[in-house]
Amino acid sequence: MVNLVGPVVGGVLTIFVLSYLVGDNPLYRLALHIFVGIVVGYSVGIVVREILLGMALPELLSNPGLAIVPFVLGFLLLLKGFPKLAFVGNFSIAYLIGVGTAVALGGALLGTLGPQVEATGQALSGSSRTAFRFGLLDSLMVVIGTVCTLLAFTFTRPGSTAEGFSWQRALDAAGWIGRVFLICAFGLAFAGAITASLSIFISRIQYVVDLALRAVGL
Amino acid sequence: MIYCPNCGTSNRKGSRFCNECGQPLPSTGVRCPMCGTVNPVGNVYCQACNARLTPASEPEKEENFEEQSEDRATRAIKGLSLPTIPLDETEQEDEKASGEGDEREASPAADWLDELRGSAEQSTEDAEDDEAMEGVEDLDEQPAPADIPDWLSDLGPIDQDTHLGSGSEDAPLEQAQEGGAASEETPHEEQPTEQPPPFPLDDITPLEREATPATEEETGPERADIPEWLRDLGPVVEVPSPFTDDEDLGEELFSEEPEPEQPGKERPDLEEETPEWLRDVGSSGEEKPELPPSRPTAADEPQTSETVATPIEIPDWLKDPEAGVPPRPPKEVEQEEPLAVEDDAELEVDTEAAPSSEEPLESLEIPSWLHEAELEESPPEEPMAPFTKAPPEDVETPDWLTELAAQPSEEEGEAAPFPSGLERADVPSWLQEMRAGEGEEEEAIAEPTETEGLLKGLRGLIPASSTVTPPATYQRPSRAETTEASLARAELLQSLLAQPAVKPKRGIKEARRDTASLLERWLVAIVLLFAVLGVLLAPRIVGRSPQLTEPATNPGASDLHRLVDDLQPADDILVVFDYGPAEADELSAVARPVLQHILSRGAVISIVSTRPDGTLVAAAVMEQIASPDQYTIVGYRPGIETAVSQLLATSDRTPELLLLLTSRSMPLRAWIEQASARYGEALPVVAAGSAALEPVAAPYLDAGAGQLRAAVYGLPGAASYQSLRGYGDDAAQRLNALAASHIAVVAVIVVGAVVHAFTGTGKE
Repeated sequence: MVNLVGPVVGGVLTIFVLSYLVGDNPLYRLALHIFVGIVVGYSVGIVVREILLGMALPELLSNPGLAIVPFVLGFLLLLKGFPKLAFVGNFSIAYLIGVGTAVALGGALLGTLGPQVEATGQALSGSSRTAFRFGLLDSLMVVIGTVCTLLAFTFTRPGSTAEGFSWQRALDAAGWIGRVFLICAFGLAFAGAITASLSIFISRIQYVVDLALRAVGL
Repeated sequence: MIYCPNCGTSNRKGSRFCNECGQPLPSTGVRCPMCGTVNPVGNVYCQACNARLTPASEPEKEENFEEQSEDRATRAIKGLSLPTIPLDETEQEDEKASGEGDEREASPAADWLDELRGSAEQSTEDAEDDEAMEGVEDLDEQPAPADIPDWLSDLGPIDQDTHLGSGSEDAPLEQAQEGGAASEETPHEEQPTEQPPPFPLDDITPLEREATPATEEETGPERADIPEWLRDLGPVVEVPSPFTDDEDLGEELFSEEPEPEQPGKERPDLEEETPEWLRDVGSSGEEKPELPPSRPTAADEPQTSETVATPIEIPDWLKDPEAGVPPRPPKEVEQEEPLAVEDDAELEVDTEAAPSSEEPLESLEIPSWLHEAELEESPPEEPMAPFTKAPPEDVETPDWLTELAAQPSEEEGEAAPFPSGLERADVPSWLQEMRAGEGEEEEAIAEPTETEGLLKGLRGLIPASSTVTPPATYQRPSRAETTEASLARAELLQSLLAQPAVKPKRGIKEARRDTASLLERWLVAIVLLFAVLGVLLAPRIVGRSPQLTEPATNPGASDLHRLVDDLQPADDILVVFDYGPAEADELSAVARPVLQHILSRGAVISIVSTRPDGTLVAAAVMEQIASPDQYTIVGYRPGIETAVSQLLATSDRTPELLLLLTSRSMPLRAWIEQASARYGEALPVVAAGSAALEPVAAPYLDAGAGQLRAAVYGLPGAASYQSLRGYGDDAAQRLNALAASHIAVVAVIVVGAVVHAFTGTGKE
């Protein structure tokens, strides 16, 4: 009986969510509120259990000198709940944003920008071409796509030279090619999102069907 | 540029008075009296014409001269714009005068002039300084009145006042009153012979310069040696008859910059040679201040001094100005024009401060016309020009001077005398009405009246207080008057507001659009449901699942499978559960076969998450496929980049494999970047993510980058991995359902496009 409550509740809530097909309705809102509340409540419980009680408190008890600063910053962050003292919490926010930005910037430079530039340069090498399906064509596509995509974000362009060569036209053409690559990438991302949504939809329908068949004894 | 020592204002080079405060500016050079060239201070001879610029003899009292020069440079010269004698000298002489009160009392004219000087003397308390004491001692050496020649006795009171000195700032005024003749008729032999130049040399006109350097050595003794022919030529040559009319004559007599007193000069024969007109002028000097201040010109002032300094006979042209007088050199007048204007301005200011108007006149012999003018005098707060004092009765005032004196008396109390050459402008009627009347004293107090200038007497030009005066008490506003029309409109508005709100009816087009949208939504839903349910229920209904697609050999799945196969028992595997319950239906299907494969290899799984609900999903998944001793849920770490960096930094040893289970690009990028930055290629990173993650992860999966060794995405990846593992009918069934839904979506899109193409609803 207890094992049946969970799937039934899950099936009912799934139908409530699918009721959005007829438009916004109370059943859909009820399911939405339940899910949001559960996620928030569970997250708070996880934070209290794993962060405050699991990490902060033992650290404070064992080594209070080192934990005083995080505790002060955390206390200042709590003052965000009081409008008159909310500005005090900005120090904690600034600390968090500053540290996060520094870590993200270092990771982006060392983990993304550098290796990606290096990989783009190696795309034309013989060893790399063998890894591609179409050999040199793939390598050229990688290089051209990368360069043109970067040029698509060039917003200031020099004027025409005295010899008649127009940098502006060249950059416009490269930017147009880069935008084509971007459109393809966005289309692929949208297709992946649709596929992911359909996968979730199929799983939900399968769950309901299995529940219904189990209910009827099939 | 010349900077004013008083206010610091920068003035043009060559300026003599400050444009801002009117204070005299220090001279920057010595102007040659002959050619006008400006020479540097200290030049004895002109660098252009070699004319002498300084007196031939050096002053005996050099210290006094330096002190006087310093005082002269720093002290403002008040009174007439061009004083006749240095203030220092007049102060000394004033002290002399105070020491010989008996002599001054002997003459009625001296009394009233003394009274005029009284206020100035009060304000100059510094007259008791050492200089003044020296002046008193020198006073004993002054000639007795008996020594004064007869012609000078007629002008005696004035002469005494002049030479004894008022010692105040109105000394120039007295000089002007006494006229040029009187100013020269002084016992110069008793005065210090080495008197310094009374004013900066550049102020002295050329003809003045001929008279000013006269010292005892030069003029006194040498004058006796002047040959007869030179004496005869004196008046003719040195008096070039500059006067064109009576007014000019008056101006010359009131020359603002007459020759400074030259003590060394001896003019014993001045009485005999003084013409009749000059005696009249000298005796009626008190009337002359009523004249407009004259403009000092280069041609005027020296003539005045020369006229007195030399025994001359008044020529016919001077006796009868109408007989034709050589005109004044216009060029020199033009040159001095700006200076004259400045002097006039200063004159107006100084007349206000002149104390003579406040002196009681009962003890003086005041002519009747002056009494009348006194009665009609303006309020005492308005300063009166000092030169409006009445002359003594015993002085015969020339006609032209009488006429000039009569004009200011008519307008007495209204405005200061206008400078010559300027005419009073006509004040318009509307402006006249603004003048304060007799019965408007209160308003005049509230709005101050202008006290000078052309607008004198006008009020309200400068508001005395703010224009907006708050009311003392609150005044209730009067009730608004309502009309029948306004009341009707108000009732109509009230009735409209009282009616219940009526929902507007939708239009036909809006209704059709809503219906079409609802139909489209239902159509898509029905098609998808039929497509999915048909695939899922087909094995139960038909007995077999439709094979719309088969799990393809995914390179990513193959690579991932190979990497997992390479794991050794007890290897540490770090698994990141960065998805929540909402994505669990997709990602759990992908993660489950990979985790089962890892567990089959005997590796130890450590689970972390940067999402609070990630651990919940991890526990749910691991409970299905593993026993509790095969995995460890490390927990949740707040923050994305910082959490990943902290986790990687605090790990005791490097894991053998990092498996990313995520549906979002940010955690994927953060884990790949931090792992690459910290471990490089030492830590292989693999991913099992959502289908939407494939475009984001593809660059890291590139062979050249190598940051992501292998990845599987969505249901196709899961089905491919399950096929590699040799099981997974469930995944294949879902994959077919996914394929059916894709076909349904494409069909809906095609049908919708066709319908729109034929119905033309898209044209709306």
